[in-house]
Amino acid sequence: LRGADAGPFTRESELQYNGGAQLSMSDFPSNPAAASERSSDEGVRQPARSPAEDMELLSRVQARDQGAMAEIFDRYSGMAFSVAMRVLRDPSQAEDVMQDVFFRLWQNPGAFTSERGSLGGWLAVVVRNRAIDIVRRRRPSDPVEDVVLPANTNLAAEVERNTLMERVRGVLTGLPAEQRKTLEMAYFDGLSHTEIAAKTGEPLGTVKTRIRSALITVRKAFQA
Amino acid sequence: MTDGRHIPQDDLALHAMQALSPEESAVVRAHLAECAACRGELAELAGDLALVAVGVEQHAVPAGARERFLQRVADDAAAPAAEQAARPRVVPIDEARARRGLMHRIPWTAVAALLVITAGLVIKIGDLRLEVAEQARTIREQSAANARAQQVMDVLTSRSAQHVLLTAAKTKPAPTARAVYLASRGALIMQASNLDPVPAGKMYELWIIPMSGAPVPAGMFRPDAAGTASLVMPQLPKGIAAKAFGVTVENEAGAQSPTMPIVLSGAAPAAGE
Repeated sequence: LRGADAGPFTRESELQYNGGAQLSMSDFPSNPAAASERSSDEGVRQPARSPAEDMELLSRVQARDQGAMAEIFDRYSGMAFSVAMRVLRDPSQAEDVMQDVFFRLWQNPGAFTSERGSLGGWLAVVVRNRAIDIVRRRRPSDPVEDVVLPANTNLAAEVERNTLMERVRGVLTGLPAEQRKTLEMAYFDGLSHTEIAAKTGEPLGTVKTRIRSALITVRKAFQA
Repeated sequence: MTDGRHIPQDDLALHAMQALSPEESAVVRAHLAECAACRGELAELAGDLALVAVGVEQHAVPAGARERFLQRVADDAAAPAAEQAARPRVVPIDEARARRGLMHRIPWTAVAALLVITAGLVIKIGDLRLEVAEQARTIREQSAANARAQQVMDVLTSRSAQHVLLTAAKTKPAPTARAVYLASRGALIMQASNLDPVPAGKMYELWIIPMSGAPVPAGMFRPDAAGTASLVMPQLPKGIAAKAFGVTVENEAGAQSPTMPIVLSGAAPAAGE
């Protein structure tokens, strides 16, 4: 990792890209070994889906097809509920957030387009942001349309696979403890960097660097 | 906030987490609007955060959540057209600009008033729909219950129903009657079989022998050719605790007290209700 003064990007090559559409997270190779080692949370296992199927479903939702909406719900509700639970730690509040996000997608399926990355990843981020709004007791800060993920990621095909979840968990567990803790305080507890600095007694710059470093480690772990 | 060219990655990460103050966010947004490279990096960071999010411990969706969601969707799909039209929709920027010239000439007060009235009507219509749906559901349930009750009645009272008494083998069937009685509701069903025929002008009469007081008449009946008869829900006062039941033969007009002999009798076990 570069130091904090290395500019906005850690990889020179990214500056060459035009418009960001080419910024691609590499395909995640499937990991049958991890799949066979999976623990017993079978209840949330869902089959892998292709991004094209998601877009096809969304176009049916656009035509008010309730069955297509049910299918999207079946694909991603477990993941979305789990994300909301991690932030809110209350099943009833978490369900409310999850339901609202899916219902908004039903009302406005155009909020998500293929330029916004993968539906699963996008829903995960939108649910997290809505849940944080509840924690902070504030009005929704950003329209969901603001959330954009990298195009060309394979997150869509992988997001509902427990192999991916386990790999992410492995990467997060492997982070230096203070990095992981800082990232979790910021992302799941909704603390600002100032609040984290006050809480941990670390300088602001350190807090920021830790969050950034943790995210870059995650990114690199999922590059080929 | 900006380093002259771009937003530092640290701050973009905080922005992606919505952790910046509104003032800081405004600066970042202004830069993002002009800078494709920073937009690209922000998307990358959002992708990283999506990975972090999907790595959380998995929980099964609460029971009923799917049904609740699909019901909400179904209700929305069934909403009146007016409500659909009132829903906000995304207007492409170019289209919005093209409309702006026209919009200056619209009397906004009148539009606002109309919107308020429309919103009120839409809410009212929504309430009424809910009410109608609820009533329809109640009627459906009651109809189903009624249909079932009618079937029970039909079976018990139909002249073509076959009544079969099962007894120990090689025993000559004796006259019997089975009464089912719910004192608290004054509800009684009786089925009798193998009754001897009664002379013209006579009928059997069922009696409730109460815990205290005189026997209460509980209905007249005449057996068919096979000796079968039934009494279904005769008019009875509620709350007569029965000690026993008895059947006598009386004049067709009925009697106010039983005439001996008692041809059938049975003690009532302790009440279940």
